[in-house]
Amino acid sequence: MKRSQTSFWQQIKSSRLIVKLSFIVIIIWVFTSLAAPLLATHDPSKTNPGEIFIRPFAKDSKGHLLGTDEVGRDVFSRLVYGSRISLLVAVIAGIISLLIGTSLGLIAGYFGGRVDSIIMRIVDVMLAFPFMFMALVFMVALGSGLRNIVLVLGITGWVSYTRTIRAEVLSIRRREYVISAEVIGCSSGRVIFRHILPNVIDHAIVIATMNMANTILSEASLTFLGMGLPVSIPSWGQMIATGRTYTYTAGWLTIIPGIAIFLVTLSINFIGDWLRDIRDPRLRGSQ
Amino acid sequence: MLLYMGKRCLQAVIVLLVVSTLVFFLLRVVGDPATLMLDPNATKADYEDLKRSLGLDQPIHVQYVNFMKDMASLNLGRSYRYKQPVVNMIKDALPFTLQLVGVSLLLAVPLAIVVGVLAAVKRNSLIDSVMTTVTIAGRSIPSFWLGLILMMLFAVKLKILPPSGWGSLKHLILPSVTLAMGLATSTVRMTRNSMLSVMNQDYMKAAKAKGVSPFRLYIGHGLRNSLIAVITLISIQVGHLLGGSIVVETVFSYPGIGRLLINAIMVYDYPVVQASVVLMALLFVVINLIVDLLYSVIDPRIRVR
Repeated sequence: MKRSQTSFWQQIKSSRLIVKLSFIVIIIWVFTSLAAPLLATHDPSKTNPGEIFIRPFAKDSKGHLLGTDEVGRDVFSRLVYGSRISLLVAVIAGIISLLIGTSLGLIAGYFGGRVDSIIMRIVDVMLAFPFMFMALVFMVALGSGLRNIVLVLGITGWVSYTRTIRAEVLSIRRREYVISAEVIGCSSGRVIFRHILPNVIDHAIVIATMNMANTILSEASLTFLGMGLPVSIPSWGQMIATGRTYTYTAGWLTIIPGIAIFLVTLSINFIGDWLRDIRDPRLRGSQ
Repeated sequence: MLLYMGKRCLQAVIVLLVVSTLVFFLLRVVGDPATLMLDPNATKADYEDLKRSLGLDQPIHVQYVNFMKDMASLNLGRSYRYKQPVVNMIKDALPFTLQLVGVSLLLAVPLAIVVGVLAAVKRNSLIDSVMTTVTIAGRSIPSFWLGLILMMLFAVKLKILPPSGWGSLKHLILPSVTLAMGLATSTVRMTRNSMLSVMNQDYMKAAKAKGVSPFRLYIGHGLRNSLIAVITLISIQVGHLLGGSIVVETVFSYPGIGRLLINAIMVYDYPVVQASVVLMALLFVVINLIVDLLYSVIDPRIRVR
């Protein structure tokens, strides 16, 4: 374990500049969401009819660094608290899909037969139903809210794990070390967790990274459509959804939270690409 | 071949059945249309009345059979909100969505394939790394935000394109560019990777050794063999396009199925929600079916199976 960690740091050191910058963005993002109450200059939900539509970086900004919105809420503070929401959604939904997807992939690949075909048919149906529709129908049925959006993104995002992990398990399954483990009488659980899982975990990590970016985008899109997080929660998608009404007069209300989403997903995607290249060169498509 | 086609058609029908069942289950069993439609002050009697008039008081299996019968006979019911047959509303909206998706495909695919082939042929060159960076950026932009930014730039600042609405080709430009972005970036990536793996094959080396011109080599031998992967990706991406059209239509107030769906969801217009979701799934399944059958045209090896 130690070896892989030191080499991980070395790999970051020798990575491209853009990857290092991406790591910095992610660290800032995580730090901001953890320290939101300390960093925010104002209460993100406090309205102030006397200070509406203050421009970002204005001279008489009255302490509102990035300006204020249509009801006088501080854009910077909302942005800071919004980072919390996006991190929370991405991490929890990500863990749910990782767990579901990886276990189903392991089960389908290892046991094969009927279990495999049932799982893969479910995967087919999930793929046959455009994600956005699936998520919308779920959100309509469950109602909007933080818990529900996390659930919906979690239970719709596992398919890519299952497909990749299953394919990987199928090829590992017939290797000598797995067969020897079975021959000496290891239980299926032990074979799966001790011998197969460690060999597919890199794939799972790569997919998890890529999925995280998509989760953030999906959450923002659903919230933008009015089907995700309620207005009471200051999230980036919500900021754009309300700011959109004022594109003509107060463009910053749309532009600023969008830049935040873009920077975070861009950084995650750069890191994901880099991880895939160093951890799993076969996925690159060619050698 | 006939057997294969029959099998694929049967599969498509099954997928569609499962999707409709899922929609039914989620909307009727997990959610309760009656509570969502009533205002908070309604009495218990109002609730029961509404349930009866919607047929929601019947046992769940009876409801399910009725739902499936209605879907199969295209009897989609009347909109709760607009009181007109859902079929008419869908008929009005569908051409707009097809237009939008079609134009986006035309914008994205040819350009993306050219760029992808170039990036693969000139591997590790400046153009390759620029393209890789651009495709990652394209993947990371929230499409609704991109739409709003384009709108601000071309409609509000430069005033050369209409900000929203429909009617002319000009109205289609911003929505279709927004929608095409995601498709283009993933197609570039897929074309590049698929080309790279094909270029390592022995027949490519053989063709090169034979002295085939670079154009013929890359297009006739390379691209033709990479197309399977690219077309598969595009057929999957059509699902994302349909999903993306919901967002883009909302941003640009474009009167397609996506906006119909969102508006219906907002007012709990269940017949419209059901019909548009099942319709989208149907479109997606049909497109995938066509693509699957196309394979055998592009790659004769598949015909044998």
